[in-house]
Amino acid sequence: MKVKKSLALILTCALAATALASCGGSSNNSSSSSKAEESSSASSSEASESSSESSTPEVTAETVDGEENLQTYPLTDSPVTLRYWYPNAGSMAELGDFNDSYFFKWYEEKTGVHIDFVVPAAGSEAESFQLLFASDNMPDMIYGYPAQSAYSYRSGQDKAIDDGYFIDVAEYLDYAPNYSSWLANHDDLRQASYSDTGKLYGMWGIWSGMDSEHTYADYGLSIRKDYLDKVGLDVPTTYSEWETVLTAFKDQLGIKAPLYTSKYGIDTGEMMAGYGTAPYFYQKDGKVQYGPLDDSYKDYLTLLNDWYQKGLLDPDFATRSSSGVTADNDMILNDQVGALMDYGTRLDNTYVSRGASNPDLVYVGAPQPTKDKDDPSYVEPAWRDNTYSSMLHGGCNCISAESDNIELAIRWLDGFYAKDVALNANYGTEEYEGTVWHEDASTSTGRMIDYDYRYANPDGLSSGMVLVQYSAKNPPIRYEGMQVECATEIKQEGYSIWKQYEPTNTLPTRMTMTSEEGTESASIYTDIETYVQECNVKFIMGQMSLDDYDSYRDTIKSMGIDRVIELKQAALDRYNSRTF
Amino acid sequence: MLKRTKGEKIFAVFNYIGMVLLSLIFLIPVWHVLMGSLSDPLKISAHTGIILYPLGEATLGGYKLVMQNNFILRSYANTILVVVASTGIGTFLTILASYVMSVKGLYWKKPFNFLITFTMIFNGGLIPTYVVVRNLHMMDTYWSLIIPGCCIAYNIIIMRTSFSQIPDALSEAATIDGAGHFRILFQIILPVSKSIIAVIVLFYAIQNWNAWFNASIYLQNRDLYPLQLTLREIVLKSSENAIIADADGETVDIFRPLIKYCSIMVSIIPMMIIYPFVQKYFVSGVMIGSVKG
Amino acid sequence: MTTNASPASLTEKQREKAMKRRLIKRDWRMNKAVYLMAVPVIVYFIIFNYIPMGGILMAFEDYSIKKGIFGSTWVHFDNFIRFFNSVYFWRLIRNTLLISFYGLIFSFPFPIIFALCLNEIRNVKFKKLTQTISYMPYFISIVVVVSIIYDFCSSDGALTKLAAAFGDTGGALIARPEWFRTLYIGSNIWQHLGYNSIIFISALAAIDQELYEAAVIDGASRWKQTIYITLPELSSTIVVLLILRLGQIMNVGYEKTILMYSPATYDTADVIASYVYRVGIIDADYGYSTAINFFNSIVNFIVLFVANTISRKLSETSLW
Repeated sequence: MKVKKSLALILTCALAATALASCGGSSNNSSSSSKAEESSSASSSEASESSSESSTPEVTAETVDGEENLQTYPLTDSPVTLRYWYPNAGSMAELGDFNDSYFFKWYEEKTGVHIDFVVPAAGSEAESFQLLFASDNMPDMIYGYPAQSAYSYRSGQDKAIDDGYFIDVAEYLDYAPNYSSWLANHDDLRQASYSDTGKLYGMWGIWSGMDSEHTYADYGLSIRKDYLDKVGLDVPTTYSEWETVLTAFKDQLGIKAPLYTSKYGIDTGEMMAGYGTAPYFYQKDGKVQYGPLDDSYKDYLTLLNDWYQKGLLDPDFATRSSSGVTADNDMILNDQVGALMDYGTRLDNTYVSRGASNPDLVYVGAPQPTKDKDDPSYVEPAWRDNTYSSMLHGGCNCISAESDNIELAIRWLDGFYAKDVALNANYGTEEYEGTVWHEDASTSTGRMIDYDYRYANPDGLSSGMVLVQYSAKNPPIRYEGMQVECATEIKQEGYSIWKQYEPTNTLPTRMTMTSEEGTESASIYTDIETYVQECNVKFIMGQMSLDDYDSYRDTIKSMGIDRVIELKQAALDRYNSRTF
Repeated sequence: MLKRTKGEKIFAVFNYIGMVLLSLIFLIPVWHVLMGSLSDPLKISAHTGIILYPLGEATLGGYKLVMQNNFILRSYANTILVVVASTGIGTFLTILASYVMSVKGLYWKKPFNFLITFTMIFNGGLIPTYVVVRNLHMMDTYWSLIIPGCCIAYNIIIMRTSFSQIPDALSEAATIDGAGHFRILFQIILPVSKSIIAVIVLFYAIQNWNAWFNASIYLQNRDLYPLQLTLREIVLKSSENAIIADADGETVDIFRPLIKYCSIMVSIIPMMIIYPFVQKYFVSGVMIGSVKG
Repeated sequence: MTTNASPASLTEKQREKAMKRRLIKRDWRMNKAVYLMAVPVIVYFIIFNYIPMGGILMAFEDYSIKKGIFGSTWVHFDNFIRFFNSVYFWRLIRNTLLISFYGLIFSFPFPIIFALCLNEIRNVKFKKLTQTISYMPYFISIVVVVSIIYDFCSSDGALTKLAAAFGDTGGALIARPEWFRTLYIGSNIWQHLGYNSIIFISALAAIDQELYEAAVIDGASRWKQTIYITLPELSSTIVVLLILRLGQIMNVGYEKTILMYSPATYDTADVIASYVYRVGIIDADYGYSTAINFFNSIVNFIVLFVANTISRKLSETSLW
């Protein structure tokens, strides 16, 4: 610790020079770097007093947001292979091996590190992730989604470090100067990245260009515009309008699944936000709530049950294998879906280039439905996925504590936090300027994806394939504006509809539990979670009567939900009182 | 031929009709898949009910796609490797165990018998077995598919029963000639037990060909996936998870329904071709197994 | 070797011991090679069957894979108590028993009936063909069978449409708990009917033809022959198989269940084995999962033991 502290001081001094050097950039840039200077010099002056306190991590850096790449390449002289758990089987269908991606080829040449991608089977990623902890052969790097319980260590992030599975990245930040430059520069990023005990579970994915209002929304409700035109209706805004529209889809057009939902019936909050509740835990005035305990949650289930009986939901929803956003593609391609939760990149007529036979197919973004204004229980929807409402984009690269090459793995990952690598990872390497991307001064990065090359590829590659062929999928730094900048008008509109909601109800992704809390919460909540998922489906399908909702709620309570809420509340309070 | 009563004649007619219907029930699902595999992919998901003839223009396009798919081909090769290795090792152990159990007057025979038969009624369960395989460092290797479960007590009992039916005179004569146990086993017993060996090989081969579960919990490396696990990914788990499948990365495949049927066909064709020829061994195996063990 | 040295000083017991030792030595000398052959088999069974049985200790621990069996915290019966108090406990027991029980009732008689009917077919070629076709489903993997079930039982599937033709309005069969057992057992029958009938067909062929000839002389009809000759002759085969099935009453395989079920059908589909899989593999709660499995094995063992004892008393047919 002592060595690190003095190192920190030296680095802080060096920062002033770098900040001056980068003054030539945009005004936005220089203001943020002076902010960084303030915050880091503040932390260094405090450092002498609070050095022993691990919960106020301090980070210093020589560059700002990875503007300059501080790693020296190649990272290694002798060839080394690192194993990387990379759950993107869906993208592999055509590519076969991520090492065939032009970006990874380039990065291997640059770093001297070969990557052995360990890709779990599509649909079994969650099981596979849990099995990593039981396997005796954990990959060096693991790409997880700690916001989802299925992709995080069962008893919490601190516990994963305490149990000796992952390293505490905070102890290795010296090897990650680029990543440190981000942490040093953004208070909110540090608040979100460190756990309450000052640990870093992994190297967190970051949205670059995220402005202070956090205005990006990657997905939301989408609806078939061509169908709306056919039945002569507008994009619905209230639940009653939705019902009218869905009914028209079904009766006039014979759509099989007017509204597509995943196999759980409820799993994203957008559709239900107008009821003032949420699919699982959320907060209201700083208090943690559990959606299924709300009366309004029951009301929403009643609505879905009604819609299901009327044939407005996908009749097979309960057995769909997808569990979340996007539908089974062959249903969309065959004109069987009227509305669904979908990604912004798929709005407009993108499905046509993906193989849909109907050339008129167009999806547009729709706002979250509300109750009618005169309904006494009317509430403004306030739900946005928390992974799109903070600088963290949800992905996180953890490093195995048993790895023989911890430092190398960190340095390999750290490269992605430098601008030069990040640009190539997102847009494609320099070599492909003019084909995959072109220069555009109006964008924040100076690069712009070639829309036609991606969505109407001359070689017949699908848009997803273009992405993985030339760039990296879900790289640690992702450019927030990238999808929007190159988008068509319909897509732009969709993004702006979805981003209007304040994510005030969502819990911060990065509130953490201690090892003990995590263990207790996991042993109670895993059963509750499956029980709720199961009952949601049964209420919707009418296998369980909504009259039994009170006894169902009692069951959840008897299973110990109050204790979990208590633990979450404690975690939230700690998160809110974190000072940086 | 005995004369049949009227009731018996009526019964015979219904019996024939019943058998034909039953055969159809056995055949239709496979026919459905076969015809689906020859159909136009866009017509498949719009179709309801059984596919009795190729929808749209009959095409072998799906099979072509399957044959070009490296992932499917590789898992096919993996399955063949695992089937051969696991069946070989399993059969070898089974032969050894059966011989030991069939030697007359062996002092420690009872404990040995117990060691094997007890596993038929009690086992440690999923997790303890998993932990053992892990501690042997077999995870993520072919060994995790080949070794665990390669030798089964039930099959040992079948083979033991068969061995014990071989006349003692044969081995006794060999002993007098000075032959040791190894020679007796390999030069006397095995040559007259060809059919039971075929049965056991068949049992193990089917088991290994159809296995998927162990692979799903022991493997992380896709390059080692056996065919059935690949099939499961293609056929039963077609869509991805919410956040995993983000914005754009996923490739949409309009041929998916077609590939589904074609890969099913590709996985069952070898068995469909082989089984009518080996079924007689099968029947004899079941028979020997039924003799009280 | 010294029996006549001082026979009086040797007690009966000591003599027996000496005899035994000599026997063991002679056995070793004669059968060294046999024991050598036994070694790989013993090693295999100990490693893959008996060490996992020792792993059952995990059931009494808050097992952590890093700390191992000897390093994990001992929690006595906590895992069992947790299971008994779980909201799922009765449902799991009920589903396991019901699937097993219905499976026994419905899938046990079919192969016998099939064998009897097939036996009445005079046309040898037709008989052979039918038999061969009936084995076919046995060679199809569970993954494929389940995917065919999905195909036939989705909202557009053939079986759903068939049910609808009989007035069913509930939609996709595969998503409905009230249909799960029917589909599970029905597909089992489809897959195993031919295979399971082999044993009966062979047993039928083994019946002494003179019995029938005598019956014909007595003027017994074919039906009467079946009742009074065929079934009694088959009875011991039936009893042995029945005991074996009873011994498996708590063993509903998870492989097919976890491929076939979804949250919508957990109500009837979730059995102990699938729960063990979910808790153990997906939630990584190893100690708890092992405890549930251990409980299951014990119950199984008791059922098998009781069934065997009853059978031995009643019919003198037993497994041991």
